[in-house]
Amino acid sequence: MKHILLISLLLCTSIQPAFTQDASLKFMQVNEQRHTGDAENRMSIIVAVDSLKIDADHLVQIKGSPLIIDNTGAVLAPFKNYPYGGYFQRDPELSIGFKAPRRDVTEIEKIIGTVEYFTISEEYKSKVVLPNFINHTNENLLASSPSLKLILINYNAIKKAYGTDDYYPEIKRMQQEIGIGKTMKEADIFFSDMFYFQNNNPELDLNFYIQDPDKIIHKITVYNGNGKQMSTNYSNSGNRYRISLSEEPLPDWKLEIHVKTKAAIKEIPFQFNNIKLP
Amino acid sequence: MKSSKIVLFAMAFLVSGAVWSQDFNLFLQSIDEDRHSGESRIMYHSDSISTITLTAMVNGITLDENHLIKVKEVKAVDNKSNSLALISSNFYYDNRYRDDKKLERKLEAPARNATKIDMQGSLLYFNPTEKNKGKVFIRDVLNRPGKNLLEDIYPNAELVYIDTDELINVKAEMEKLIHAEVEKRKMEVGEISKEEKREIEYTRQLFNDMFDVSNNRFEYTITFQSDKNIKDSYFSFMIFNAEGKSISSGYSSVDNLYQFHLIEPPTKGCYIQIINEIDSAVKEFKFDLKNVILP
Repeated sequence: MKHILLISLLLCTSIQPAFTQDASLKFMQVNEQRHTGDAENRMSIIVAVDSLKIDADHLVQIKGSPLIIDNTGAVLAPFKNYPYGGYFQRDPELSIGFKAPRRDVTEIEKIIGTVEYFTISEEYKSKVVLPNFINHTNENLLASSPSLKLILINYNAIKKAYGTDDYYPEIKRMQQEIGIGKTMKEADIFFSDMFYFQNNNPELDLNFYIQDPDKIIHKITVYNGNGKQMSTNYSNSGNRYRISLSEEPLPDWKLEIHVKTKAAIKEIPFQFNNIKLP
Repeated sequence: MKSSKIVLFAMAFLVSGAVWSQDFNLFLQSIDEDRHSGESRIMYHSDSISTITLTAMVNGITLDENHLIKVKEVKAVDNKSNSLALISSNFYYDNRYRDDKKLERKLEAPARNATKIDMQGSLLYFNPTEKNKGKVFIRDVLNRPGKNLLEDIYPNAELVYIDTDELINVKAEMEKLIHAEVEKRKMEVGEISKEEKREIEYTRQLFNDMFDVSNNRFEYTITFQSDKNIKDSYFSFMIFNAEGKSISSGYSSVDNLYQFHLIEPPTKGCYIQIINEIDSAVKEFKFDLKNVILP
């Protein structure tokens, strides 16, 4: 009886998948690239989120930098950029990338980390739908979120004033009343850059002033009255956020904003032990 | 002091990854290892086994359109006595001669606990010239129908130019041959299957196309009879016009007949250039790389 208990305990410590109450991660693959040249030796471990719904409104990512320790006790430095996470994805397979261990290492003793599960819904305030947004220029479209500011610029109006005596009084008013830029200098730079980087077809662009200090705005999409996506791409530099459209916008179009609110993100801790290396 | 210097020099030479044979040297430039276990969709591997890619540079010898190189053999073994099997090679993809100095070999990965590998093998260096008969020019082709154009060049090879008259004779003979074969087959099996009928029809069609002297395209062709498969036996087989411009653009073949398609009709001055990998045009370079440290 004692032996059976001991065997069960041993099995529990060497098993690879990590379970939480309502979700589990499955170990899938180890990849390693070693080079004699100047390319860095890398290793990645692919894990898959099991038993959780993953679709356009339910995304996953590895949070921050997992702790990775090899069987010599060395801590292996993780990579944070593509394709090693740092962004929410629709794919249940997640890649954890890190600097490859020494050649004589035979296994990864443990990986400890957290998966974030992001649900996009109005209930969790992670989905904000704004109808008739084109008639709501020069106001904060995300006023309900204290840290966020998203202001659609009335491009034609400010362009008309640009180069005239009305221009500086107008941007001063916009800075003071609407909060475009913390100072008049910031407002001036914002508008100058907006005109400088403008495409030939400003009618097919939406120009926003954005403030998102914690980078919690995940996505902004434009739909027409029939629900068809009309935004084709976007560019973001500092406080400027520009969306390109396939047609000129109409009043029945909607703006859909996805925000990574705390309520919408569930943290799922995981741990994998004793991963044998190829 | 003197002897230790010699030992050091010898060691450095062993691990340097360069082996010298006359002027030829093979410099091992990089080792890239791709190890994996398990399966995933996002990191799909076409091969289920881990691999190692050795990239080496051929130096010290001329490489150009007349000086080509290919691998004859490579054997690699790790210091745990595992032989590393060849997986594939994108250099000399079908192991044809090239003038690229880069040599890439993908092998089965060594053991994880291996620290070094030894690699030995040889390369073939092909320098076809008229003198060594690796390069041959056959002129006055159109005036010599029915003659073996290779008679004085390669004693055991045959290449005969078939002119229009001869082609008409060959066509009649071929038709008789096909007819006889079909009749023979009918005797054997009674009823010929649909598939076989289709195949016979296809062969007839191919013959008709090749031997259709009334077709406008016919004057843009030249036909030979060869005892060897021209594509496999010769490194290259090209037809040039009198001004030295290549005019061959491909060929059709049935049995031992090869009809070359030309971009202009052949004229009196046209000639054939054959590049042939014969022993007198090939030199073998051996290499032996010891104690190559793994990444």
